Amino acid sequence: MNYLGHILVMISIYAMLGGSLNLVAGYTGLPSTCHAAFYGLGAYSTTLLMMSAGLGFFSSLGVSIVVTGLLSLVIALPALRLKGDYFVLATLGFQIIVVALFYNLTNFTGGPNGIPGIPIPRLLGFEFDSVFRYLVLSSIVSACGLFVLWLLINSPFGRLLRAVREDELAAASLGKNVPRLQTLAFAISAGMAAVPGALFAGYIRFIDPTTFTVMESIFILSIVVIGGAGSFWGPIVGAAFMVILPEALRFLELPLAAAANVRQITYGLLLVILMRFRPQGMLGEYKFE
Amino acid sequence: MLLLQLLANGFVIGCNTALLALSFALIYNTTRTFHVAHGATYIASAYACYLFLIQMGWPLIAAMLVAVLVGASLGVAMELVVYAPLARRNASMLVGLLSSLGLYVALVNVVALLFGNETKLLRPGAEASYHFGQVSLSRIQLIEIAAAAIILPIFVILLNLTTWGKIIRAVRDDAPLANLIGINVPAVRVWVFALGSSLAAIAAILTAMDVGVDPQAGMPVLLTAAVALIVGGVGTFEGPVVGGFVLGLLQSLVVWALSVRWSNAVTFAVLIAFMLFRPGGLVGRRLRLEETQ
Amino acid sequence: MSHSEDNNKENVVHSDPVLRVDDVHAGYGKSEILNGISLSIRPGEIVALIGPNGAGKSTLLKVIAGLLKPSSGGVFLRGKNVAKMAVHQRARAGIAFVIQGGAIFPSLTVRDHLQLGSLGAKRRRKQEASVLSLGVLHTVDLPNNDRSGLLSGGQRQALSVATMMATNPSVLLCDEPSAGLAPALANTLIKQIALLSRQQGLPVLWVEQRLGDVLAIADRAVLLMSGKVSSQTDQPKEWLVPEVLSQLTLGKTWERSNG
Repeated sequence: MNYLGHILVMISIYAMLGGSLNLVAGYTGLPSTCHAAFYGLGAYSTTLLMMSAGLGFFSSLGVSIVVTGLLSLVIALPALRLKGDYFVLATLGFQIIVVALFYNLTNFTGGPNGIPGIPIPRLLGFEFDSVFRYLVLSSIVSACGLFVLWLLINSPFGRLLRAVREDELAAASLGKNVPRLQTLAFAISAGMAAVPGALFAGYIRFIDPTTFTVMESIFILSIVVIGGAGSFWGPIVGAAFMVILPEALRFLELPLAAAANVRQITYGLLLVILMRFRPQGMLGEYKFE
Repeated sequence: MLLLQLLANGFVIGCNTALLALSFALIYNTTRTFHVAHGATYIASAYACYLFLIQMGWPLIAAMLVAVLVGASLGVAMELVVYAPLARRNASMLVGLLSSLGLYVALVNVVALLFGNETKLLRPGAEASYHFGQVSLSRIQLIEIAAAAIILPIFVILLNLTTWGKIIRAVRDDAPLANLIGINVPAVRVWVFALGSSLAAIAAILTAMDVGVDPQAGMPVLLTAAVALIVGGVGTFEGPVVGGFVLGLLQSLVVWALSVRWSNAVTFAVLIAFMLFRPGGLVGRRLRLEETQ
Repeated sequence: MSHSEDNNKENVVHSDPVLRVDDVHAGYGKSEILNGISLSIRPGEIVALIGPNGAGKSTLLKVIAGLLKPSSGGVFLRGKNVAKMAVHQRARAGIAFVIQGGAIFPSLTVRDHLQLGSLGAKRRRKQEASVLSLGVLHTVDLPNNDRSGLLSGGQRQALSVATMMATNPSVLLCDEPSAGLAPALANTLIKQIALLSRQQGLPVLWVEQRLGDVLAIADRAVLLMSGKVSSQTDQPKEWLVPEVLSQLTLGKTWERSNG
């Protein structure tokens, strides 16, 4: 049962990660490859606020969302002036720089050793100390986050983003401030990524840079693509699929290290096959054209 | 003097990076494919050499040749199976990029599955050191310099003075137009992938012999090549060579002044600065920022 | 119409078509632009293809060159179906396409262009091809050794045509080769292409908005409306009369220059 609970917690975390990236990659058409950096910034800032400033989990989470959103402007402002390959490269660059900072600012981040002993999140004296209790926490928090996402997508703002995605020039000629819209979407997406970061930190109670690398960014992008870009349920289904996949592969009884490789081979091949035959993924409507 | 040694090391890294950057540029300039999986070709070639040289005990030259062949074949296979069909249906850059990422992840993990995650060093024996005044270089470092000194000028000559070079430059300038005058552009693409992948394989094997290789090294290597291309000048072939040397020296300096762990970060800060302020690169035309859009 | 011109026309009419388009339907995505077009081009004849914007003139040329796949119908070069041939194979088979805007290779020299163009041409005819293209070039006095990115608009367009001529084609497709040029230059280029066609017996399918220039030199004119051949004439000069054309196009007028 704990095992099932664990799977569900991870699905709720990745659903939120995929959903937040979808806002920028699926709805606005900006293929950001630095989402794991925001995931990490959320995790580290929440942790530092809880451990050094003594704030509670939820307060730390709140501040962390704002901080991550603001920090994203550091890359959003320059990168959004670039297009296509250059934009992707810029976000990749930011991803690498942020991870380098996680490794090197040892006084804040613990360097390669990370930060152990993260306190258990609690609300009004109630401790989320078992898998089942944490599942309740993470499901509710993620559901709230995804609900906010749903509201955004279906608001005039969401419609504007889709218009920009389809035809930037047309949107601009209609008087819409395209750079401002894109920057806003980017910052909101980054802020939302801080939520699963905090959830992860509170769950595993140990964070280190290896969780937030380039490969993780690619993985999150794959969740969006495979589940379906530009659809609300796409990344949620994608997250479930991608988390369950390696567990399903356990039936092959591979040694532990091999299982991780096989999982990645599978989703790598899936990406290639989907792009060739069904770029909109399982449920999506945006084909990255 | 430490500075001279630093410059010498930087120069050697620069030779390797220049080869890599040229290999990436060949593919990007002519096919406009952001071939992320080039990093996987790099890794696969190094490990192929490991397989033949260390595990199967083949003679050095034979192992190297076959490993380069493996790299070239892999690149060609990726073009034929993945990129060419996408190009035929005029798929967008994003679709190509995502496919390339998928290929990279899959291939690198196949290598890790077969050979494990630890660093492998391809050294068929102890390394001799040679001294030139206050600078010392290992034998493999000298070979890296020699490789660059032979290959790079050959390419410059080929690209500028032969008909083949003109065909490559025509496809680079305007692939659809090249098609219209009867140039077999699909075949040119295959050749360019074969050539670019071979060059990457050579760079990979040399590095594996110098400092070793592990399956995760593909991405940083790929990104360095891309940065060298942009810093040097996208669309040119001389640019990435220049960019490679500049980055090699820069990385050497950063390792000395800060630490190894900052080297990637500095590289990327330089990249972002160039993309914003001098998108044409060092050698390329003075592009305005709008032209990159 | 003088007697000798009539005789030339007779010689031309009785040979098999070099290029034949048979009931072609084509479009982009869901919209169909060509709704069943059939036409033939006989050896040595210049066929002017005119019509309003969106009628499908450029689309037809793209289908013939292989840049766009038709949803149905066929294209035949000297009787052979080119459906399975890729763009570069059609070029080598003899279809040359001068696209709108004067495309060239900016980093290559003029000489490079001609060299690359004639690469696919059969050896014994390379000489003829170079003479053809140099003929076109001469009128605009092109330098030979600089990067052609430095050329002016008119020179680019001339080079564009010359490069296509260097491939020694069996049929030439032109999409407004003089578009964007000053009237005098445009007129010269058009006359030059027509001259080359006559000299070499090279048939041309010519999409053009400069009606005055092209109808004066064409052997036949075809009017395209909404993706179909609306009417044809063996006396293109008659269409220069505004009332005649107005009637054919049912009063629709379109942007055209009567240079």
